[in-house]
Amino acid sequence: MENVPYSSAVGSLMYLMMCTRPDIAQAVSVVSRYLDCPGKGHWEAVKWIFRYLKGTINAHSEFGGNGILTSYVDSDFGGDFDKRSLTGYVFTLRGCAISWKSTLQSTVALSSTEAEYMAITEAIKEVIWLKVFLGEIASLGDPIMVFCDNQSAVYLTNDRMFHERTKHIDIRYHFVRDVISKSNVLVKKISTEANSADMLTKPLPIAKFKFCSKTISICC
Amino acid sequence: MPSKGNGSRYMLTFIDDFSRKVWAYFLKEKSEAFKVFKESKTLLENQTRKKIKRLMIDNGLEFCNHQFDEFCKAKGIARHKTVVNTPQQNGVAERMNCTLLERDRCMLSNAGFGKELWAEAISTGCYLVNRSPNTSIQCKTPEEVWSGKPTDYSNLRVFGCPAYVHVNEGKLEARAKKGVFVGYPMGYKVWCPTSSKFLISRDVTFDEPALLKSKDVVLKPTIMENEKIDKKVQFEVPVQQSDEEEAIPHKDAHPEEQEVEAEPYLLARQCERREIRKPMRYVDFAYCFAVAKEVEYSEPSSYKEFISSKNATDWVSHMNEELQSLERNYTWTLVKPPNGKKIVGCKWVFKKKVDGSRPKGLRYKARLVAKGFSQVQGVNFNEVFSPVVKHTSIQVFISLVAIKDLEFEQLDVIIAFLHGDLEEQIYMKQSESFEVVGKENHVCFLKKSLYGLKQSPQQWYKKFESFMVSINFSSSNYDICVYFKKLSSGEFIYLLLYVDDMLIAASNMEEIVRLKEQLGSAFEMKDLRATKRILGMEISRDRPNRKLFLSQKEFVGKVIRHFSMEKAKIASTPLATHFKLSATMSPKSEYEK
Repeated sequence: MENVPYSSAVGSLMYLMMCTRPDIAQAVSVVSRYLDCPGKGHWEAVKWIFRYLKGTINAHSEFGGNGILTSYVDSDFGGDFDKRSLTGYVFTLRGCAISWKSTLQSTVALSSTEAEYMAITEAIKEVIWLKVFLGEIASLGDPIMVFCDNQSAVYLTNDRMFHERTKHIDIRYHFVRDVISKSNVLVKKISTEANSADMLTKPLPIAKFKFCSKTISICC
Repeated sequence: MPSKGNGSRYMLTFIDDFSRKVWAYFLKEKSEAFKVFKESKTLLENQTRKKIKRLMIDNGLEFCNHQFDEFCKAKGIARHKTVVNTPQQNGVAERMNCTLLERDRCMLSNAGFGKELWAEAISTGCYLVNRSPNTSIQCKTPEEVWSGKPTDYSNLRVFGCPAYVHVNEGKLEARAKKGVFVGYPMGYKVWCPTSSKFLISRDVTFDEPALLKSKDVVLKPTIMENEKIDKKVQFEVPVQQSDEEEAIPHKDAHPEEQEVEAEPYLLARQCERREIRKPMRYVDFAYCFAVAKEVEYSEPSSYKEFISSKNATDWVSHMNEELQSLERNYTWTLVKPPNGKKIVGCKWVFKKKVDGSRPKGLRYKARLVAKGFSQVQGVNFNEVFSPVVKHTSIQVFISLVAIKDLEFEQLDVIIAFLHGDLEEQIYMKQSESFEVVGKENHVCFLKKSLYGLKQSPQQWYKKFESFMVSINFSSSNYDICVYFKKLSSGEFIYLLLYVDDMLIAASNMEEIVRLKEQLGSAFEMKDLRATKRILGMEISRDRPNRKLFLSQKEFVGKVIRHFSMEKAKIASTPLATHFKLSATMSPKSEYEK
């Protein structure tokens, strides 16, 4: 494997993912976990991504649609083989993706609710920045929608529920409640089918994948 | 083919693994092998007072019969048989067969003998092998290791040369018989063709040069006889057999056997060893990579390389240009080298840039940079910072441009860093072979932040920041590389800074032109007009529909070409579900890597 330009390939993909391609974010997040010691299987995965890129070489994001600043959040509970969960979120402004992330959570979640809750926290952090930034440079003060497909996580952000299964959740994740109560952020439930952040947490079937890309205005 | 003399058809060789000494026996029947082995065992054990411990043989039936098995059991000889079809496990013996037969053929052909003298040639071959240095015994000769005495070469003669044997058959008879030399038993063995006899004698006169002069020594009777015999001989299917004996302590013998009529001999030895390559899937990228790099970057990477490069003269003018531009900007003053101050080096960086507006489509760029890595934090610099706009900011910004249908222009600052003023005292060496005449020992006291210095980007940012403040722009609290100003009409004009690239957006083109003028008065600028590409992203607009498209088509194509994936099949999703990647797939050992 020494002769394989694994890091260089992943680096190129990462730049691409950063700039215009949220559709490969999940894949890049996966392959970039093995940079220190890539195996043959990992390299096969990288080549697969290149094959996908070859088919979607004309992909572009299309700005100038409709809609307020919206965020889709998803997590994949225990999605990694190390048993950590994945966070995925994407922000759309006027229907087009402007900020996205697909990453492994830093701590192990005990339930899907907790994983989702942690993902919402990540998204809220971005919300704060985007809100003030947009408010400052463009005087845009629209409410921000955060969509999440886990009902219990949505409840958890709104109410100070105490439950046997949520009592261990770290205090830093509860800062979400604080932000939500004070600012113009709405966390709402969305069905998994309509959640376009799904493609940032797991490999999807083709139809669903295309739907997700289209929702955030990545056109081929 | 039966040999002359005793009519042997087979040979059996024994090799002592310790000394590598070889004995050859000639057999009429394979079944004689057992008898010969017993005899030679007794002989060797008696001579050396050591026992045969181990016998390396192949699976030939002459060694693997009941009689042989019983004998070996009784004498406690371990036998190592080879795996079927794996003669390499008996490599020593097999290789010796090869050596002996090579010598055999060579000697016979050189002497012009027929095949019937093969046994003599093999014997002589053995004799020579035992007296030739062998690498497996530290270049000693087997004979030397076996007997402990230095090898004597004084009796060596050319095989097949005419020899005159001294005889005394009567007072009036000739005192010598003419023959050819064939071997070294106790004296010399001479084949006498006229009488079809072998003579063994000490008193032999050799005519070695005769063999060198002509190859006509060929003995007619022999050839005649040879032909006759050939008709009689029935060739057996040659079954290669060999075995070899190996001693763990040392001193042992190796039996080995071989049919001599080795059919057209396959010169496997002479075939070149196949080159072992790594699988292509690993090699191609690395290789293409290297070649592509070489092709693409035919730029000198250092001053030394530049001096020896073909288009050195092309570069010189650009280097002078650069120096003049540095001078114009009062980048440094020449001073005497200060005591106790660190002096940083400098180097030339050469770059060819693709530029459609030039003839040949290439732009040469030579730049003098300081070797900033030798700077010490706290002494030569304090902070490091580069004005880079956040990526999300660009996305948000582009989104705003699309939504509000703003004008979107791009600017580039020429030699941006040279606008920065230095706060620290930095001395730099003069550039090699561009020293100012009469001031060769002087060093440059830097006034402007030259490329390569640690603080250059920061100094540039400070300069730019202060300028922007002076024209009433404010930078965002959430991304300091985003500048904006509220216009009297209530609208905004924006400027994004990415080191020396700028993006400007406003609804009013006049405002942009004014800003450009202001910037142009303070810095040397290059107007790139409407933004077409930024950071490798291509921007296209559909203004009537208020749409803006952002893509990286070119970059994707470049990456795919770079990793030689042009011919790959297309996949429809970025990562299929069948990839179950985990850390367990990482190579565990150095070998796997």
